[in-house]
Amino acid sequence: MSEAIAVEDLEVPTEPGSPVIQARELARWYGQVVGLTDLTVDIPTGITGLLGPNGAGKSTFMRLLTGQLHPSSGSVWLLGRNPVFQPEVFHEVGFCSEDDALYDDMSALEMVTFLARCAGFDAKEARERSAQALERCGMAHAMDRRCGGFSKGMRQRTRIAAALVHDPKLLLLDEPMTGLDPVGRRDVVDILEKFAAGGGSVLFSSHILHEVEAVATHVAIMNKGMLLAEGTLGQIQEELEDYAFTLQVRCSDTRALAKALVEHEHVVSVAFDGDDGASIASSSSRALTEELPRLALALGIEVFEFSCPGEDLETLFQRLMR
Amino acid sequence: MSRGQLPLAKSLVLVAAFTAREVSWSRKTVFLGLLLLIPAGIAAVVRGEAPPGEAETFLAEVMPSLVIGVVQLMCLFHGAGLVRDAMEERTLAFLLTRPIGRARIAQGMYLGLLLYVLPLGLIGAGAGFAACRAGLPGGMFTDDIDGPTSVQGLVRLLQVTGGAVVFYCALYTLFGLVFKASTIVGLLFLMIFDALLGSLPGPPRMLSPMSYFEVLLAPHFESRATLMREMDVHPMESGTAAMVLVVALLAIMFVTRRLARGKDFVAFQKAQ
Repeated sequence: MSEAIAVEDLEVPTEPGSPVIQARELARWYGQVVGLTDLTVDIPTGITGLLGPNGAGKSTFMRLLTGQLHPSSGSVWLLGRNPVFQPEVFHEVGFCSEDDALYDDMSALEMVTFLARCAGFDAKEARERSAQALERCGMAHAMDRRCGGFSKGMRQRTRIAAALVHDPKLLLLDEPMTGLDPVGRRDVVDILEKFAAGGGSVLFSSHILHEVEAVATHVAIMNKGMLLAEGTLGQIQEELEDYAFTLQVRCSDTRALAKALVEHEHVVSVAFDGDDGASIASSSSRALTEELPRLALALGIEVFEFSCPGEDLETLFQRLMR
Repeated sequence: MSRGQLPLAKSLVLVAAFTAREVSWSRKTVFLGLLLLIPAGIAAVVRGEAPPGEAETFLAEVMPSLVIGVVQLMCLFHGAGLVRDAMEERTLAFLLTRPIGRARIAQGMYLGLLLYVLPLGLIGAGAGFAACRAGLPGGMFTDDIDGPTSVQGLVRLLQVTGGAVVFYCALYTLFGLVFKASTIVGLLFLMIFDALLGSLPGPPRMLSPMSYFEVLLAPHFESRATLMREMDVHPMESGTAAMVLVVALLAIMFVTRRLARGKDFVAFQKAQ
């Protein structure tokens, strides 16, 4: 936590397409408690979901990213800059914390205007931008009301408006959908998608898998202060390589396919489901997904449909936990 | 285009104005505002009850300390909670994620506190002084009691009150950065250093910041000077006392700046 930091700790070279967030061997302890350990990650442009259960270290990572906490060791850069010692990076970064904090004595418009002014805009422009940001977040009807009287959803929308008001390139949202009703969640997803469509990048944390799955192009999965996996969903699946899973298939000749498959060592069981369906349990996901199309072609069997029940982010997450 | 931090003056003005507004809206405001009227209230009571000569002497001895003490309490209750409350209420993150340096945020908050406390402190001091002197045969600004002229006494009281606000606001803002239970630590500091050591005769008294303010007041309040001589206070010129206070203030500001840059601005128990 010394002020004497090397120049290379302050800035890393950035080029178009560079990661928007870089962390190297980042660690943070709270006394004896590990908040985050040895985190090395590059977060690319686009929408990235930071996924993990409560206590995984997501908020610690967010606080390190936003300079609220200093790293115990390692370094972190936002858009190539150190968030603690180069606060100018916050011209280009918007942050919405998970805390239910607002300036309760102010109206939403006053609060967002103040924060826009703190981003360098003059009073008139700050007010105009704030009104627009609040409108974008569905707060046009309540922007002149005191924040202290807002519902949880309105408070969250106001915080997101405050994060968006200065047109950042990178948006950091810590559990942005917590406490929102389904409509509110959908609205937040819309806001994120529009922001990303406009060229912005987003890192948002969540412990709810389908939220991440629904909106993120990249995923970083954390648990117990460690990064378990990072990449697109496909890349994470590839990282996992081999695992036991069950495939459901509908085809023109289920019995012939089943007969051919059970001869393979990795196939654990085959259960028939009606005339044209079967569930095939395998100890090797890779072997089964490679074998199935090859056998179907060789035997002239027409495959109508196949699916992997439970093969969503939740399954991946549980598997990574193991 | 790469943009730098917000300019220093703009950062300080924005944060200071915002802080002054927040402080003035806080729940402590009414209580502390009433506290400021206590010196004037005591003066009014004493002047109404005590014989004329004794009342003036008593008030000249007690009033300046009372004013500085009340001002110090105001600085403590607002200043110690300034950064700490923002950390615990989690609103500090809004400022930390703007292009404003952390040291500037702390300095701006301090200036905002001054914007609010300084005028009130001066009004409280003025009201106390007026209550002491109102109704004297020669009028408010008579020179027949205590000090070279009472106008000079008033000016010095306002100067020293202003100085005390500047000093104690800085000190307790620093406490808010350093200590979790900053208000309690501040109260302990006040009781040990100013109330206890400050009332002892001899050199230990000089460990109390309040004693330096009393040195500054003494030349214009003769009965206070006499009192201090009787207490065997370490002899010190006003200039030296002022110098000590200025050096201490600069040191506090330097430490505040360093700490603000290096400190985690998250309340520890919640960060986990």
